[in-house]
Amino acid sequence: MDLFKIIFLAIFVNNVALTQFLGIRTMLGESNNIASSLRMGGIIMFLLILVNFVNYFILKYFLIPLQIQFFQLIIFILLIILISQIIEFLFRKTNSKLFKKFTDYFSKITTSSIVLGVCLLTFKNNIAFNLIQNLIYTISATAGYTLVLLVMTGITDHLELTRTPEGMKGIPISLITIGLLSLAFMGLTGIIK
Amino acid sequence: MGELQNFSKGILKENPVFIMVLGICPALAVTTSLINAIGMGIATTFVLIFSNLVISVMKNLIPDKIRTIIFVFITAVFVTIADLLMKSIFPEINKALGIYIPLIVVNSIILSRTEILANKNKIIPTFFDSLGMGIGFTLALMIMGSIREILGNGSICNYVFVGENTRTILVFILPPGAFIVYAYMIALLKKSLNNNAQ
Amino acid sequence: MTRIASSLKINILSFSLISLVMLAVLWLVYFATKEFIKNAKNNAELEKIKSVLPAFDNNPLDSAKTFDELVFYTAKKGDSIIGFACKTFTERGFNGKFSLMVGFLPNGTIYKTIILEQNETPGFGSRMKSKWHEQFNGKDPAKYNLTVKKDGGDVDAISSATISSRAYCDAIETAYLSLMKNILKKADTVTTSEPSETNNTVELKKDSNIIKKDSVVAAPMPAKPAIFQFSDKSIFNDAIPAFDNDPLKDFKSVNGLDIYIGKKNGVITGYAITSFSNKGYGGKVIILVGFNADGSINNTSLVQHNETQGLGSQVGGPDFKDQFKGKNPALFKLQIKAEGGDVDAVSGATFSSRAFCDALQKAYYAFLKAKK
Repeated sequence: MDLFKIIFLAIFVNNVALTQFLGIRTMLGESNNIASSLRMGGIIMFLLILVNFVNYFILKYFLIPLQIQFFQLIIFILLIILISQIIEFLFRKTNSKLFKKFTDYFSKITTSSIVLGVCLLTFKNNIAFNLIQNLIYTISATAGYTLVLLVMTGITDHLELTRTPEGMKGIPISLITIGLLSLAFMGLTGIIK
Repeated sequence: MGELQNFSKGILKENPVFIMVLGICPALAVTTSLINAIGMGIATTFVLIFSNLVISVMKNLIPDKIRTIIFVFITAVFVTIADLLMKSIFPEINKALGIYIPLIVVNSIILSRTEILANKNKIIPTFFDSLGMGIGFTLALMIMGSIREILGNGSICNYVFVGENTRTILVFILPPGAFIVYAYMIALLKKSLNNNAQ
Repeated sequence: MTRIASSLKINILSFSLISLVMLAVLWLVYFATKEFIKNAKNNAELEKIKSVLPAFDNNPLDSAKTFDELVFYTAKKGDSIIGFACKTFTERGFNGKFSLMVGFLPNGTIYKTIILEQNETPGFGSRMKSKWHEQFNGKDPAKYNLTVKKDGGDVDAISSATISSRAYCDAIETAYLSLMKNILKKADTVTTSEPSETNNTVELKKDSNIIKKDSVVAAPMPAKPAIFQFSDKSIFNDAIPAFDNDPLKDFKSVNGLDIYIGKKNGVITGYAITSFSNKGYGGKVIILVGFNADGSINNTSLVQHNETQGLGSQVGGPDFKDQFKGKNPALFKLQIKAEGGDVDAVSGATFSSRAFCDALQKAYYAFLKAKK
């Protein structure tokens, strides 16, 4: 598949947050801070690139030849936890304050649907993507997620200042906002045939 | 806490989907039709009950430091089992649910229940709590599923009851509709529970 | 019993033990369900096949054949073939790939079609599932043009879902072409030719190497050319690769079109087909297509037309018709790019380009039927 098509589809048409409903919980619980949202998106992208890279080889040379694809889920989730523990450990070891800031997010995202979800989406049809397409897709999908995350961060800021009905305050109004975003993005389908 | 209360709180007062707002992902993704919602609910309840039972039985063999990995591992095994069982008995529903069955592993309901409950309690309370939570989850999904399917598709359980050319309110079947229905259900239920409390 | 203390050795031990136990359970379940899963899949497939073909009593899954990613199942009742079910797909859907199952009767007519997997927009493209697809039942793609009415075909598109409708037609057409090419290799048939409707007074373009129509032509046996009568076999020099027979004598009529066979030393080198389309801007357009023995187009030329001079007439010019040289219609979709095909239309002359493609398409179907 054309690389540009993959990128466009992953970010706009089949956005993982808006059409596949991944990582909504993390989006709702985000602090109203652009920097922290960017950090969240960045760490998800980094983790996923590593995980998908390893997964590609495991799937191709281990699971498929042995026809034990049903093992996929267990391997994926264990890898996610393992790799995130390793990265967290390495980050903590460095003396850089920057890296230490990232470690707060690991506990949130390891068991969030976004990481496992993008993993499953990449390998949905076994190995439909080759390695390069795999990496491009992972980056685009997480970029799309970060985009929505940033937009929601900005909007939540304003939402706190508006008058919302008592029952709608907090999660319901955020959900409706995400729904409207999803509606807006739906207008972009059909641009690429 | 009496067992009955343990069981019933999962259905209404601490409904995982509408009150505690856990398990958002399947609630939005899978509720495009009532049958899919029921299928997902049953699968999640199955995984919830069995993995919690196993963990509750083995809780003294699980060292504290690695408990997350072990919990996730056990849950993943049961999700795979549920997936295999579904593929053999209800392959159509399995295909319709797609990637959301493996995503049961990271369903916040299971993770939080395991952490809070199975880790500390004996088997019987664990069983009833999980059963209650599972049924509450399934019921919540069924409600959302029926609303979305009736309004968005003019059908119930894939049986179309409107005329051939009736225009249904499509947005409910599409992703935006999921968010909107969910938001209103949360608001409604929270409000009515608050009213009851006062 | 209190919880086990946590140390590296105990962690590893505990993890290994628990994981081994769980994996053993998983493996058990896997083996127990393996057969069921396979059966469930096969049954689902069988149900789909049953829904697109009349009653049969064999198991078509036993005799599945795959050609170019399309799977064909043969259904029989006793010893006679009831039909063929083809699992086909198209990449041209609005939301990407979707697949259908098409049931063909042994003579190539579509019995029924059914959607297998689709991802189209609910309420629009997804209406392919409803009664809309019944319009294909019983149609013979050799006569029924598998394109939407907007593109000059015979198919009623779903309103506001043209792309999905086009993609559906594309999938059926792929299945039909593959069916004809690989399974139904028909023997020569002499079908009744349509009466010619050409206008006797049409002026012919200078650069088309055709003799004027009202010259006397020796009618070859066994049937007369219905579309156009040529007087000299040198006409075919450009169309068919090197031949040493007289194609005017080696002639047959298929689907109402005239097919001339070129042979060298008794081996067929190519087919020249006179085809026509009524969808030209000025009415009927007649073309001569030369096919190589392998199915690729050798050359095309415009024989007779009433198109606008300098505009539609350019379909006879090298800029347009040279794009077909060497192309195989099985891969090169014979429709203009604006309608999802691969053909560059003459700008400003969409109708004429469409008509040319339509005639080419007809010629290709006839070619498939004719070649052994």
